[in-house]
Amino acid sequence: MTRLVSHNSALEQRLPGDLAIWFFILAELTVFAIFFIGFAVTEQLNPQMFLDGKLALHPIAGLINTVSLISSSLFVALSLQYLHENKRQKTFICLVLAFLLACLYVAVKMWEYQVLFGQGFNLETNTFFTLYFLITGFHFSHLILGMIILIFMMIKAHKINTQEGVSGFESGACYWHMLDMLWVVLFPLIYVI
Amino acid sequence: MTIAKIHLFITWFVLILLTLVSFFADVLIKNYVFFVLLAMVVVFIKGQLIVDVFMALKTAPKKWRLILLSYVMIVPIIISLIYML
Repeated sequence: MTRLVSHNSALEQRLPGDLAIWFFILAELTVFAIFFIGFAVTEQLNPQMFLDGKLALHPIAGLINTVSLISSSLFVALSLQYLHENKRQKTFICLVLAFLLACLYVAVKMWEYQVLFGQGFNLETNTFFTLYFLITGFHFSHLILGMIILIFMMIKAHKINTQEGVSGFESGACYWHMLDMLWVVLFPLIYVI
Repeated sequence: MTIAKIHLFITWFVLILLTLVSFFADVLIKNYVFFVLLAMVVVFIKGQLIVDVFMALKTAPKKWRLILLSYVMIVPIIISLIYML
């Protein structure tokens, strides 16, 4: 990582990416925190409904999605390491792997939704499924945006030659890790506990 | 492979392991409240690893690191308290 060297210390602390993306990340985290807390509170008010709802879900699908997202984040983090080392081909390959793992997430999620819709569950079934589809759907839409960002990062991987370009790349990477962080909370809340 | 990349792989492995622990813990832990607490502790540890290692905030200005770490601490705490009521 290119680090600024101050006259006081060998390494100056630096926030990766653009400042704007961090405010965006904080805003998104706040919205999802409200969703998560709302889900937990509603579950306590409707324990049987939520128990029945969770039994209709597919925890293994959630587990596969967790592994795919964590693995995708690994490759995004690796791509950034390679970019800082100016190894552009490896940067690109890591981004492709990250994108393919995201495609796995999308495929599993679409399968999951298809099965639930086929069983007659939808947004209007009851409060549990309203929250389930809202929260996971909201996360899913953010993930699709993240995949578009990954495509842009792949296109730019060989062309970045300014600090601004690197900062933009870091911003995209941090956005992707935010999605991972949100899923880390969402998965146990909805599928496990 | 550089130390930084090895660190990323180790972090990935720990994240996967923690995921499996919390996923299968209900087989061993019959006390629901304790199981919820364990799941939320795992959420905090995983969140901290993502913040510090994947997002590379361990070397970022402290206030930003603290804000993100606060999130992965406070949200699980609130959820745990709700489930303990």
